[in-house]
Amino acid sequence: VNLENLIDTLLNLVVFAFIALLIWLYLRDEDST
Amino acid sequence: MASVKAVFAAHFMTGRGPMFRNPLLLTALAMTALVAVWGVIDTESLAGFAQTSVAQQFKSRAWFIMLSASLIVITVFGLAVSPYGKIRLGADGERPEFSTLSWLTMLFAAGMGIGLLFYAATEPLTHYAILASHIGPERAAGYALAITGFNWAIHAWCIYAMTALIIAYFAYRKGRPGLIGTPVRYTFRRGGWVGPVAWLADLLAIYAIAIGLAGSLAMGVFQVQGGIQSLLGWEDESNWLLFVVFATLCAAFLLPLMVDLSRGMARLSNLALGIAVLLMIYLLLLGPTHYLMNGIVDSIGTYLSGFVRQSFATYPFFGKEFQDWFHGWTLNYMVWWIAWAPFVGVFVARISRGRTIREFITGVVIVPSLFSLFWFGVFGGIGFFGVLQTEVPVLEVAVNAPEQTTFFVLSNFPMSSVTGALTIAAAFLFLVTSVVSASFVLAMFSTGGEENPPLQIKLIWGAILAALGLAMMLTGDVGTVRAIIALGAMAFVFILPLLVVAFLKTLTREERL
Repeated sequence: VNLENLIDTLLNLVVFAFIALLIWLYLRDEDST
Repeated sequence: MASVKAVFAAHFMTGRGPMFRNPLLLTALAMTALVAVWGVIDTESLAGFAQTSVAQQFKSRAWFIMLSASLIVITVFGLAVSPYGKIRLGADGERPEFSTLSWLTMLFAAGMGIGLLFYAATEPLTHYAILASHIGPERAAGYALAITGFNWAIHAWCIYAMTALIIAYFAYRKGRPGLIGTPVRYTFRRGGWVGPVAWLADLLAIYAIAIGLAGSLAMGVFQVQGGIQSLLGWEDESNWLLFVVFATLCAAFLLPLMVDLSRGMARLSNLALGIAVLLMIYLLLLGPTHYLMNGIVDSIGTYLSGFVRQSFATYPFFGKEFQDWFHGWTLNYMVWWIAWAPFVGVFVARISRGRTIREFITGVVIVPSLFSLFWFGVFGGIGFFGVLQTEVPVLEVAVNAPEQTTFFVLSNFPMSSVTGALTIAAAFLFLVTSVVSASFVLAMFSTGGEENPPLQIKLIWGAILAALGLAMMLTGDVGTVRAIIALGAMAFVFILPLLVVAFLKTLTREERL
């Protein structure tokens, strides 16, 4: 695996995690503790 | 300068001023000052860093940027036609503060700026230069106009409208501070991360605005320099003219920053807008009118028919030339609009209090978008007339000296010294008024939404913008300036979708239809 490919994967992993986070934030219940 | 000195003495040296109790302001100033100092001391290394890292991010995340921008467009239109469109940006019985006509005029003014003046004929011609060899000159001209429209019209204004809508909704309907972090603080109520993330959102918005505005400032100075050169036939190899223009600009915005000239500023901005519109009408009437009108209507058709395709186009199967073109233009613009969104958003939100979401979206998206299509249709159309119907070397000018293209186009019409001088004046006025209003918005954002931010904070932002502008100007190249702007806005690309999610969540949970 070359460095460029690794950076590309990492940059996209951050985006995937961010999208998952957005979906979770939208769905979670804000009132329960 | 005495009063500036007194202000500094009172607030900095004694350590009792608000600055030392405001970590957001201090961090934002430190971040932007660092970029400015880096750019001034070692311009080449900043330029190299910006180009390399933007190229990497664009290559890896082009799909995400286009998808985010297009999902924002879908959300904006979805809200306009949904029952949520009836919700008022204010209390339920509230009426709009401004009449519809003056509101539309103000929106129109918000959409006009140095960018339109700079890229008027340059952008369609640059696209044409790349496309003509692939799809033939006639089709390339139509497509170049449509792609310019795509870059400047609905996507740009949906990004602005979304941001302004979020600011206005939380400020006027929920009574919270008109800050970028507000939707996060209001919507997400659990978890220790909320405060820091909201704070980060405020910080990244400030950072994106400062870098974005400084980039425009540099581009504007290039254009004024280019205008004076082509008007007077001067050479500026040692760049002395560039620095004279820059110094004059700094002197010109210092006074309005120190004295409250909000009405005067609005007049200057309207004057610049008036000059720009007159220039457009002048070219439309004195130029080949039927050719230009046909071009405008034709480009609207090409734009609308290719709208969905273009909204998701990332050119994965094309070679490097097309990839670079896509990254340098469409993708760069999407990031650019996101960088500008908090700045334009605050202004648009302020003038739109009391409107319904549906009215708001219709006005904010349609009026400036139509104007952009018309504007590029006139200037671009004249460029294509020169390329396709005459021997005028306008294409060479657009490719080799983009900052002189507008003046070159004007030089082919009567009274070109008058129209050229007016264009220089309009560019200069747009710059002064943008720096003054950006200093105000930056001071407001960095003091927790203070509607009348302290003078010294506005002055510090003015100075930072000038220093950042100088750093970008020293790169001497518009392409590098665009890369630095994109770098400044990349982090905010993640904040805007977060704000949209917060807004949609509050809207769907708290509004009864």
